[in-house]
Amino acid sequence: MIRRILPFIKKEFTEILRDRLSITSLLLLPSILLFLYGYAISLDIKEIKISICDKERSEFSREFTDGLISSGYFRITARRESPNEIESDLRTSKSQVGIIFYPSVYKNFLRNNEPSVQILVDGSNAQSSQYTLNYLVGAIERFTQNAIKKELIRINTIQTPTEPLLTERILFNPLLKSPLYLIPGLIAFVIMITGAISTTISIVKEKENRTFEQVILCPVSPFTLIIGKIIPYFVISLVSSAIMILLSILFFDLPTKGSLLFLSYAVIIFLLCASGFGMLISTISSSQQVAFTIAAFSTLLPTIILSGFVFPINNMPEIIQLITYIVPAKYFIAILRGILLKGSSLSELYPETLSLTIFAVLIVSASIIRIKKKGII
Amino acid sequence: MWVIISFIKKELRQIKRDKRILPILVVAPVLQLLVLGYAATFDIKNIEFAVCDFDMSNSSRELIDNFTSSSYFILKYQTHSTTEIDTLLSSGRIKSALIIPKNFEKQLYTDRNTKVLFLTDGTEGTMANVSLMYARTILSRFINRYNTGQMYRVPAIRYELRIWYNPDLKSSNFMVPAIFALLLSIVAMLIPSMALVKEKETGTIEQLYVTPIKPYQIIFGKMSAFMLISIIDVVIVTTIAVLWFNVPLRGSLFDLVAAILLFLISTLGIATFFSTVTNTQQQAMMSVMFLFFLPSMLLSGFIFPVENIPLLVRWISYILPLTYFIDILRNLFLKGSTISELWIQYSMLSLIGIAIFIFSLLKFRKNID
Repeated sequence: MIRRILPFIKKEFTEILRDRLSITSLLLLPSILLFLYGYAISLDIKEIKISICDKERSEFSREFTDGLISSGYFRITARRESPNEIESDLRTSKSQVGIIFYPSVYKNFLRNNEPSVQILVDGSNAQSSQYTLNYLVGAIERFTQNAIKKELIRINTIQTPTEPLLTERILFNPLLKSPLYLIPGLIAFVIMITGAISTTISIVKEKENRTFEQVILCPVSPFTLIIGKIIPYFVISLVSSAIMILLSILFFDLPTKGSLLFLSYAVIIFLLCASGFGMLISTISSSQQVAFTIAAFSTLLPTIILSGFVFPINNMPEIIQLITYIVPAKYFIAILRGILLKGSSLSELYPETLSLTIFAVLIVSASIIRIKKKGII
Repeated sequence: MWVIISFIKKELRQIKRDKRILPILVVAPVLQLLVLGYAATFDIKNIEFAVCDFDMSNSSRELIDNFTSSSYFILKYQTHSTTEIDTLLSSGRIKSALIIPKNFEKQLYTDRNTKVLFLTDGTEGTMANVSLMYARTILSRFINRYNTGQMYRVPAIRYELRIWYNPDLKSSNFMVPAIFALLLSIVAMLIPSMALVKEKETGTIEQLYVTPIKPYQIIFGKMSAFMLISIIDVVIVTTIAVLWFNVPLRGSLFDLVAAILLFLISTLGIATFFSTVTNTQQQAMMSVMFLFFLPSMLLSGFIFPVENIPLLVRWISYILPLTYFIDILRNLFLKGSTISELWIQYSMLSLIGIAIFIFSLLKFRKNID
């Protein structure tokens, strides 16, 4: 068996190595992509832009806005004379928050009367307006706290107000650096796409050009043929993934507290999922166009959206959560984050590791069974 | 004109011949929109958390109640050991934890400083950020309520908060238009980018050269065929977005159609470009994947805000049609913005479309010579 496959692997390697451009791109492309995107993308919320219309011009309105700005999340970009201008600022996205102080806001504040501060929030960007709202509410609560303190001092009560002391500790990524939690996702994304696509194309190309038919006459089984075809790609992808992960550990300061052995196991299994998936696609597609269409639809968006890369899975509706169980990137990202950021061991990550392994076994055997039954042409 | 029409017919027949392509091109976007429209949610609720209450007093229980009744936090474990909290956090079974020290209540009544410890898992940055904000707000409210209970008269800021355009902050209103844009760009890019190069690879392009069909007719014929298929997708997907996901369509239909056509033209233009500069389908696929799809997904503002991207890389965002299209769709659907308000985005789309088409046409002609 192995003696039969070896010549195929040799032949495939010579073919790949002959094409200098494609071998360098296969080896280095993942790292280049990771660097480009690792530096480029982040989910940090920049300063939130505020337009203010202050008809009150009192101590209160000044303190209120100062309180917002001192929280560090807001910046006043425009001061307007009329509420209408605020409205157009929001419409044209010049600012995300509009604050309007109507006259006599301060008196109302002390008397606990009707509101005279109007806060308008552009909710169209559901992503950032969540933060905006939370920051706003937080800043207002803090402002109230100070106001209460001042009021108490003014009326000279014996009781001094209690001040809360929230000790916060963010574990595993204390500075909440975007790259740290995005890099594992990016690694999974890049491995999935390069792995699945390079495998599927390498097989379907021969199918379409009918070069498989020539080999079919030889006394080798289609299975041997396919295995011989993908092993070289698998090895190359493994090397390039290793380069990518090592470079990202070095350059993005990933803590990497977990065991490297466990990490390598996870990468090999995930790569097996990706190539197995590519293999499965190639068994059901007749042309490169079909293969590419299926591969693009099934890897691009699902790997980004259904894997927990950006969107937390437990906030999705339950039916959708069930679908995420068949996205291998989900398990791989959880494992990578565990090993790289938390230093988790296999015993803590065994459900994910087991699922990933089962997935790899299932998908590879599914494609092997299909090849054995239907052949490859 | 007739030449182009018969060319379109030929092209459509060719696509139909492969029984798989057409169904995939129509069904896949629909299925994906249905699933991903629900999955792409930024709402952070039900944060799994644990409590370690060393005080066991009324006040500590009240604080815990404030956490659990908020719908942001779900109480998963209650323990009395901090080491257990550590293992729960590192195994990912909980995302955050609240630790209330002994004498919490006593300090609350006597001291000025009351301490509680809030731990959160930083590996999922967004979740960590939001849970911290929730915790701070809940604690300040708790303390404010406590302080106001001690006073005669309390000033509290009453403010009126209005959220415009998307009052329930539904993520789907924001993400469905973007997923729509992305799916459309996949449909308009996949097959067209391989169309010309396939003829090159199989050698049939030379047969076309010798016919009296002009190069621009070949390109227009091919692209119009794919335009038709994409438009079928547009109609279905828009219907789903509006009727199923209830994304409000506040802008005018005319502006929407104009944006879609401009976007399709520029995307098909880029597809033609890839098809003319590459020599094999494999090259075309690889370049489309890495030079078009990946940047489109990561740099267009689809998920990651464009303004966060470093300026050097942001130039890539500025040449992607998807950046402008997503921006137009979101504003048009939710805010009802008009062409005159979004003229920059519209003109950039047209500019990219025209430029890339002229460039590929010239390149294609040169190839023939």
